[in-house]
Amino acid sequence: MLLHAEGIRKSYNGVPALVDGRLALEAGSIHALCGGNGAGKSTFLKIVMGLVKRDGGTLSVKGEAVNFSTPAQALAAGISIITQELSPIPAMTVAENLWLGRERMRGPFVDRKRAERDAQALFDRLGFDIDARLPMRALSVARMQLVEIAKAISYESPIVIMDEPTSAIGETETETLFRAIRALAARGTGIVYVSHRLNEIFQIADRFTVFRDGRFVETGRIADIDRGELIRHIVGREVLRHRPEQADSPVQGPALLQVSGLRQEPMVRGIDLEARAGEIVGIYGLVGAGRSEFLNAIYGLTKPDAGEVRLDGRALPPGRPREAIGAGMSLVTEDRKETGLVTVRSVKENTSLAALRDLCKAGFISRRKENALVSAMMRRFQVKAASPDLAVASLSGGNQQKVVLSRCFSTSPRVLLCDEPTRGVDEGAKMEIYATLRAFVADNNAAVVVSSDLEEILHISDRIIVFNRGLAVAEMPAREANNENLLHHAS
Amino acid sequence: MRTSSTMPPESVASALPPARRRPDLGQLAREYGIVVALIVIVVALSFMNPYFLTVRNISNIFLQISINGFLATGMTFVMLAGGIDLSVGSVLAAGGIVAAGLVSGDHAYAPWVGILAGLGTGALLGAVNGGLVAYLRVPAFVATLGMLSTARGITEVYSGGMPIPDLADGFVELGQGRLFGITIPVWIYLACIVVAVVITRNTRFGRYVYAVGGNARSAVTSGINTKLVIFTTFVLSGLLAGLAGMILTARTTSGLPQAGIGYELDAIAAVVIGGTSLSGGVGTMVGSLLGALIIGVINNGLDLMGISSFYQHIIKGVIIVGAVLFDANARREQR
Repeated sequence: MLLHAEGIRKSYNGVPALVDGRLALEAGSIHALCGGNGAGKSTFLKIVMGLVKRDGGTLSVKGEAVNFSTPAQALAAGISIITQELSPIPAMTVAENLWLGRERMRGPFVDRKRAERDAQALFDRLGFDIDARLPMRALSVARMQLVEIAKAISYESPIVIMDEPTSAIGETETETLFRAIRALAARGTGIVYVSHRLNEIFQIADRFTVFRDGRFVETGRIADIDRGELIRHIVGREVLRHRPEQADSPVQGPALLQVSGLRQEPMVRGIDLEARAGEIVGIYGLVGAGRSEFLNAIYGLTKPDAGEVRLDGRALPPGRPREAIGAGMSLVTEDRKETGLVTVRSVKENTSLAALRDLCKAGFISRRKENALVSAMMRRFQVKAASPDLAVASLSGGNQQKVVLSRCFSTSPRVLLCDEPTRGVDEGAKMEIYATLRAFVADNNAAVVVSSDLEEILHISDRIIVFNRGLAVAEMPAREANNENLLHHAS
Repeated sequence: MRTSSTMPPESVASALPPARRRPDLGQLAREYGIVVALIVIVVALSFMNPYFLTVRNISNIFLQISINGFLATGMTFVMLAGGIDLSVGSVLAAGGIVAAGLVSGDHAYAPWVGILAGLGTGALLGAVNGGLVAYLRVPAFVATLGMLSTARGITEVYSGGMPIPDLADGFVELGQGRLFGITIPVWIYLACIVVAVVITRNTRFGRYVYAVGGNARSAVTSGINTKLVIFTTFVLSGLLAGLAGMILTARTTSGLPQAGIGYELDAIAAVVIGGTSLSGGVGTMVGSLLGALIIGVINNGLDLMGISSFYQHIIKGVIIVGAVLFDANARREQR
């Protein structure tokens, strides 16, 4: 047994985050750790990696009881971790980032040549197509994630924990990563794999452990369980994967959003798009296809080189998010920490931020109106926070995403642009978000959803547009779409 | 506002978990630590010197801190939005000297002309800072470091490097007059604090300042004109520095081109002791008031005890770093 944890407990400010965390990891096993928002996975991982001290329970590595108080101790004991958040130093080269703190030396000097050679050898072994001499900032987010993964692997630790390693990378990189993971496991490394993407779990893992509401629920072999059963363990209730609301025939409502000839070189190279009232348009594409750039240009976060955006027939001035919001547009950004939330501020302030204009008289905020809006939104999206005055940073990922949605809905939009609306969100919350989007368009509104999750696109869209290198290369009703033809057009 | 529920009904029923928060010492210390620190210092000093807790001395302390208080108030706006203003000491001098020039001598203008000109000078120099930082993307540290030197130069050119004495009586009243036994500067400072608290807590602009400092990209997505918000914080800082300059001029009855040298340090110290984050987005005006009070009380107490200003500098430095250390520790406890 490589890693054994039992009865791990942890409370924050008297609120239990983890009541009974258990995990048994064998050498050579790829062990999926599953659970929804607030299941206690993050807390559990933080304890294993020495970031947080547990209140109780036993933790042992290779049969020896351990008690880490720093990540360095965990690493020394043979546990390396790939976290969701990237921490690259953009100005340094890939090789320098990789060997940070473990510099290849020759006497008192850093041996740059050897660092690059070693890094390149590692990438070649893992099958990653990355040039170790490039500065980190020249890499795409997906490649940076691969570097991060290579770094964790380079410690040659017997235990590697991967927390949502594929959240930032596309299908092809995922394939590469999976090959590397399998090779690691074949050499006897034990891998704890955390992902919300169930497909991946069934593809890569051989064992699973499920947490729910801070407690261990079930563990076993992946071969002995099917998808529905696993979802049942995760959410504690049956979630039906049907698509009853999807349009049988093309949605006929009036065009709410009309985008024509939108161009922002080099990522967006002339794209038309129309979204009708009552319709969810899905945009699928690989990483780097220009999907986020397209949404950002529509919304006005960036000024496009050319093209026009009309909302309900009225042209929007380019590069003006305020005008877009005023006209009835809202954007759920891709990365809630970077662009979505003001994490140091409260749930309340984050929720009302975009709608403050409507809550003010002569510049003064009406407490009554604000509180009414915030509590309505917290109920509607079931934001789980002890108080609306808590900082958003203290919430789980899924709850943070609900705060992002709360803010977007608080301005009463007619057209909602969603960039990866369920990234890092558990199955239960995903279903809730889908239901919200469906109800939103049913009210004669329109939504455009960008996602790199094939399943999500197929599930949620009425019509799907495939982006490939800055162009819209295919369009089809969701009924006619499937994994194969979408991937075919995208790659 | 469309707030009708679009969630399936059964999911709404489970709504929110009941609020459950036990008060714990880390949290309390973080929120009230600075008040406790102030009380401890006051009690200690009152034992060491019986004169310390007299009405006369307390009103004296408030008069002494009012100048730094104005600067700290403006600095808080700037720092909450994620910036810093190193130029306040020089802008203070410029505002004071311009006002003094207009209200001195035989052809003096009416005091209100001087006051408006002093405020205008401060606001204008603040606007230059704000324009550089918000619109031309010069880092705040660099832009205001430039202004620190430039505004001092303007002051020296305007005055020829000489003090401007002989100010109109009405103007001097601004620094020396009393209302209900309390000096005018203290009244103005209290009013200024009240307004600043209301702005930060109850207005849209205040909320935007926090949002811009907390995460500018998120603020942009929410349709906030972040550049205008940043620009405005610098204008406010300049305006308050101009006000402080005039009040200092009125109190000393002459415009001094050397006024305010090094004042930016005390202002930043007050804001930081008051709990405002150097990276923006976190902090309060009341915190900055308390920060200014702590610095003022310590200065005053050490003066009363006859401790040389050389030692005072050391003690102040230790307290600034100590306050931030304490704050950082309390924060870590909390998570």
